[in-house]
Amino acid sequence: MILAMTRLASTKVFVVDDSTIVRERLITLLAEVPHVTIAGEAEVARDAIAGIQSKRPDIVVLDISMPGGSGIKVLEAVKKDQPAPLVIMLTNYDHPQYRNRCMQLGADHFLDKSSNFERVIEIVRDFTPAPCPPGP
Amino acid sequence: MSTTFTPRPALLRVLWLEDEPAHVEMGASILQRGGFNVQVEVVATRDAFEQHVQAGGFDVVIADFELPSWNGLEALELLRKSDVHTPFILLTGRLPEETALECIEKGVTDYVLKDHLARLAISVRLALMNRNAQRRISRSREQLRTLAARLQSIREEERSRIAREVHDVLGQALTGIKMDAAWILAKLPEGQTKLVARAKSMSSLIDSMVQMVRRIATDLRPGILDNLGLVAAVEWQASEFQSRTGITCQVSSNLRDASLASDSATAVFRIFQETLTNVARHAQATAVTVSICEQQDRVVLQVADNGRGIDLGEVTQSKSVGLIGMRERAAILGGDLVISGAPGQGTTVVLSIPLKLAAQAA
Repeated sequence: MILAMTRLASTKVFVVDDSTIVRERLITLLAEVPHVTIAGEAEVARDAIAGIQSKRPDIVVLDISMPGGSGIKVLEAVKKDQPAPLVIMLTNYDHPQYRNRCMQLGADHFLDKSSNFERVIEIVRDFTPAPCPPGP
Repeated sequence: MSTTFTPRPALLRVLWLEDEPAHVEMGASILQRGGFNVQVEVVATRDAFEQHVQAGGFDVVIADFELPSWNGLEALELLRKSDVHTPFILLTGRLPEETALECIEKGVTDYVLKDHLARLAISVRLALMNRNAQRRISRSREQLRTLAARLQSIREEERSRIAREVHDVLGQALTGIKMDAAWILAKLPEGQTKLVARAKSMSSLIDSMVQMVRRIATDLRPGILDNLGLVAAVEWQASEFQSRTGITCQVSSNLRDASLASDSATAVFRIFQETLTNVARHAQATAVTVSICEQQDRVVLQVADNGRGIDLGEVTQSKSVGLIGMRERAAILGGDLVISGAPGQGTTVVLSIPLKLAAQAA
């Protein structure tokens, strides 16, 4: 008897931050989470939009302040795609004005980069990836 | 061998308002003897005078007080609409003291009686010296304003640059260290209570440093102004002010500020900050209402408090560098700043600047 098996795919995460220090560490922390693969990374807004649109990650971890264009622009662009990835804003600007703007534009989470980054790991761990179509 | 140097008489272009040619002739010869190379345009009617005023190109206006269809004071009024510096000298048969006083108050430079015509040359010379001094003052004011604008923008650029470095470089490095500390903490074997305690205290020390770095950067230049625009920055500043001083601060706005030019946004924001500082220091207010609106191609910021009310003397005679700075900042952008208040009825500051869009700023 052959059972149609539903195989769980890994969660693909894309990391956007202009700081190499922060990006490297986030990737190290995320890579230790079971069933997570790093789909890509970017340090400027333009590369982030292109990368996210081509790699189609499940989750985007997104910084706001970057040279040459803000993460808010990236958020606006990638939330227009269908299906849109889950977006976690991870920022050093933790004012309500930023939070409100990001939430209006469809951000799923808004976290302080320094004091709250561990939440990113929890959110990624708790994320249930979409099941893959049954294998042959 | 010696040479005698005779100075060439200076060319004096006179617009002469007079219906009696003989008077012009006499006056001109006095000026000639007084060392001027006189070039005269004589007019008598309002239309002719107006045409010459529009064309310009004269050094002094000499006018009879009474003319058949109008008078010298009306001519003065007409001249001053477009020209504030050119001297205006009344040449008249008689002039009662009170009329003379009225004339001077209205901006007549000097008056010469026709029976003391010899004084005309001295009067013109003094008037020209006065005009030149006024022009030098105006020029110098303009230069100072340009200099102040330049210093202002250099200061703003420097603050932005330092704020970015502090926030991005220091801030990101601290975040990295914080992440490392969290990683170490997670890897520590159970039972290592001393190590765990030390790693936790390190982590909280980093947190307070992060807060400090952010505060320094924000005090220099709030990133919110560049990232989210003027209205968000004003709202943020208002809520900071409220939580720091306990004075309630309400903001309303209809401004589509995404397109506002950066220097305009900066100026409005800095003037707003300065206004709040003044409210906290002097107003004894408990509430402030702020509105920032677009009105007929202008951005209008109004900040009204319910405090003791500024004395108008304080406004006009103020040597406060803060107030001067606010006015200059507005003037640089072609705007103006009006401060009004009455004892017990609060103070209102209204800033209005032309709405310059980002697209026009480049």
